[in-house]
Amino acid sequence: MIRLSALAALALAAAASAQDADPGGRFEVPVSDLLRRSGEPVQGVGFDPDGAVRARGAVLSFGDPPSGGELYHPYALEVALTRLLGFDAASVEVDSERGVLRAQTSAGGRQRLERQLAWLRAVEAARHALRLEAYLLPEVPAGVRAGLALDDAAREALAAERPWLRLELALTDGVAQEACALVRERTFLADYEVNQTGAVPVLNPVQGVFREGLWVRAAISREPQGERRVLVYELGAALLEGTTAGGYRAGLPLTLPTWSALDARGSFGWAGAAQVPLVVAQDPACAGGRALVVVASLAPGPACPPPPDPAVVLRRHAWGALDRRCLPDYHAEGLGVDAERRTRILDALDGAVGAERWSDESFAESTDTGLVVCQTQAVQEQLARALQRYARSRSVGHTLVLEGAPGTVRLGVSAVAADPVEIGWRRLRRVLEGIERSAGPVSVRFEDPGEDPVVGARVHGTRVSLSAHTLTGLQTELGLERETLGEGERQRTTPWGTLTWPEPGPRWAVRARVRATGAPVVAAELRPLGGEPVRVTLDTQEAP
Amino acid sequence: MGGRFAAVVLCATLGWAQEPAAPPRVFDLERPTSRLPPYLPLGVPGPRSAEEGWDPERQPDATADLLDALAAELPADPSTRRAGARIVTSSPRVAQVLERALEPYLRQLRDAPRVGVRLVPLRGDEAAALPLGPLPEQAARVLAAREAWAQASARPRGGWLHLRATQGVEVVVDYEANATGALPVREAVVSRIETGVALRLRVERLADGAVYVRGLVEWARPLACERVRFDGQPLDLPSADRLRVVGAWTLSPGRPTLLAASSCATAAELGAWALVAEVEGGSPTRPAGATQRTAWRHALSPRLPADYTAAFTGDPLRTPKPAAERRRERARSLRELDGLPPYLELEEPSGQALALGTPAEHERVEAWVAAGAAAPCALRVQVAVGDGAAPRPLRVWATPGRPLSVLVARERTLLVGWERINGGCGAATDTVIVPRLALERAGVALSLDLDRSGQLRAQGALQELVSVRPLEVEVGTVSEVERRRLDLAAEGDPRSGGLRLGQGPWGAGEAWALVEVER
Repeated sequence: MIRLSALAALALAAAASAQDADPGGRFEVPVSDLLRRSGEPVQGVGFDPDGAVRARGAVLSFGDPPSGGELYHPYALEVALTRLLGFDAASVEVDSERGVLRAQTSAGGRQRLERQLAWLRAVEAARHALRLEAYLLPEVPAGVRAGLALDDAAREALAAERPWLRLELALTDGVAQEACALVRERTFLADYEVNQTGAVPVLNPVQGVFREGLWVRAAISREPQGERRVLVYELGAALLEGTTAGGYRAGLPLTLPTWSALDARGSFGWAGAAQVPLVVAQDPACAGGRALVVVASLAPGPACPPPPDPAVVLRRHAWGALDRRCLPDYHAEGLGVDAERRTRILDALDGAVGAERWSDESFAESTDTGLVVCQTQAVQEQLARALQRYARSRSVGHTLVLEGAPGTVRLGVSAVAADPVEIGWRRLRRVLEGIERSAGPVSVRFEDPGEDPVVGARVHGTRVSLSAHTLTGLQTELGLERETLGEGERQRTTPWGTLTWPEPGPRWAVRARVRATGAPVVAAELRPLGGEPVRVTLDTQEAP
Repeated sequence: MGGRFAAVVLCATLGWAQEPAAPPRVFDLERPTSRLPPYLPLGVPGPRSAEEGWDPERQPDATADLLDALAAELPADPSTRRAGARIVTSSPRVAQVLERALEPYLRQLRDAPRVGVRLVPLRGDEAAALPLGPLPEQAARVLAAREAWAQASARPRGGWLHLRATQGVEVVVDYEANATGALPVREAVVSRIETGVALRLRVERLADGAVYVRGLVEWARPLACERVRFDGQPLDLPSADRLRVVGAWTLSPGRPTLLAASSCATAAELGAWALVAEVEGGSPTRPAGATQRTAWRHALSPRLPADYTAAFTGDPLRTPKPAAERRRERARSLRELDGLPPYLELEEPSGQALALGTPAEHERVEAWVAAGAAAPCALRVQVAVGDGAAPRPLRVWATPGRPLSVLVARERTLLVGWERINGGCGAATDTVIVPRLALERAGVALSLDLDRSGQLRAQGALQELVSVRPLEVEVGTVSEVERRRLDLAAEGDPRSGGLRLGQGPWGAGEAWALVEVER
């Protein structure tokens, strides 16, 4: 009877295993979530983020590095899991297109493999919870400085205000993600374009879209050892201030928006769960003189469970905490990454532990999100210590102040150690500034040449890039451009409509190198042609 | 006709196996055509997409090959003839063999299950309380007794259910320019605005008697159709409420199944509703116990990868080309099994296999299919709009590995611009003007892709039309609009604590959405 029961149990077990496995111990496990984290690009904010309308002037736009990224290369999973199974591995193969792992092994091998995948999945499922709150305030509250944690008084001052917008992101370690919070979206007749492919040039309207809100692209990376985490961000904000009806020909109206736009790129290294203003911007000409403050807070970091098998551990160190960012080439947008440094870090791993520790079954390879190492747990700990030397999570806050008529402009942005930053806070106004006459094709007699209204954006505001060289005795290179518009505007009535040109104000640029002293330093004093004297002060403070 | 079959008939004519003649019997394996008309969405016509005119998959028919394989097993008989997918015989012995081998398959062809859906209005907080999936008897009785907004049922022909129970009015929805000649001309586009219910489902009977259904259920309700003047001509701007659910589900015959329920009334103002599907009858499962070889059509779809995504326009059953490749590859991997029916023909586009084998051999195929079927899962999307308003649920019965999408929207066509079109070079200098229309949607649209490891990829938007500002132009009145929009997107595991899809300002208050797995 006992033997019969045992046989029945065996038969049941065999039947159960046959349910999800093909004969010969072959089975499939979905691993698509370990291969890649997809990040859908999120449409930006501001006027015409899709670029449907011809952009003659400043439009908030960013380079478009892809969101998401590769976590583990299929090869990395195959090698690590083959090593884990040892002689038990008849075959281990990752089909990256279908996102499945096909393996053939014993029942015990399958258990080990699934335990390892479950651990890896638990590690990668942990998210950094980042919260951004954007405030529009009459003045920057005391104690609010970009890159420096809010003190109690500043926190209370902000808590009493209603945020203009709020964004929450749950980020995989080292993987960039985009998000957007919109106040509203408006469509209008933004322009006309001439089509002169036929016998007669014709004029057709172009619909424009304005998206008012806050856009962010962010990645958070944990240091190889320790509690610090590094945020790398791009921020965009756009506030619609109003629209005017363009005076183009009767029956062909134009709607011309005026808006304020922020674009900023920076970084920050967190030691705890402090609330930190990433960006502070105030200009009397932008957003009605209100200050835009974007505050970030990061929930405590997720804990990593211990690996199930210390003999084979696959670990991914996010690049964000090890990278050094650099200013872009002249033809690129956004901040670049020092690719040579990545190579140096990868090369240095060989010497960080003895050469005998590296075999055919252990490796270190670079993906776009991190440095993936397959080693024993003991060696992993040594490597993490070695990599920690490259971690750069100490932060500074740069505050640039322009003093002079018609008021004080303040721009603040946070940065990790010697990383460069960029910030622009500007008011843009679309105006009908000209008419372009278009003729029909050659040899065709035409009666009504097309008249293409030229709609351009006039800019008032400041754009600055800062590049710091060292942290000790910080040398900061400052590139500052300021365009201004005067109070008045010129108008000319033509048969095609009323053309408008805002009075240009002083326009100037500064290139300077400043040595930080822990106190505000005058970077430049200048008197622009036709303008009042301006004093540019840079105050770079290291976060405690 | 296959060679072996001809040989059998030839031998029979030489005088072998004489037997008394009987009334002729016909075994007809002809299948209804699998061709379908292109899918046209109900309600407000959307932008025309390339998918609209798509001709659905044409099946390579494996029936002829099956008959070739079967011919080898038939006793010789001069009265047995074959024409296409039909066999006629006067021989009782041949008829007996054919009956035994083909009867289960003929029942499969003949007795398709009746598939029906009902869209039922709900009361109070029923949308939050009703259990998703197979309904308990009491709840099923309550919903059955209630007058439905729309209902439709039919027996699918050839596995496809393409059913429209609609009413329509013809209106001038657009103008098109024809500039191919010397003189460009303008033509009115008259379209039938259909409202009612439409189903486009692929229905496959599984070995255990359950029915695997994938496809689209759409419902539209007409609203006022505004008539405006465009360049002196009439132009109709229709509006409608639309509900569209696309997904794949396994249904048990005789048990109404709740596929989706919602009281999420944002902007679309549909109120609370439940979408219930039911299958009835159909052929019984393949006879067990017999040792002879029988024919059977196996549905492999539950085991094949599916990423037909539910586009909000066009045909949701269209499988993108890379996905079709993956499906084919997966179907071919079935051949790696041992002990399969000796005759097994894969019909790859449809994900079916026609087989001739013993019950044990058929069971190998069925076990392979069953191993890929994941247990369904109830997802609850909480949508909150406004300051402090209680969240409203949108609940869906999801099958892991099968994408699912829901659209609940109020749609409205707006005149947003125009286009003046000129003739080609050398043509006359006349031009024509045609309208540019935009489809404004207010409501919620969500695409939920739950994989077998429990990871969910969600994408969609919550949108509301705040104002429409008329603007006088030379051809009439165009509209500039202001809308609120909250993009919804997330990727992660919703099982512990839910997955936040988005949060943002909504007028004076806030809107947010969260997806959770119901226990």
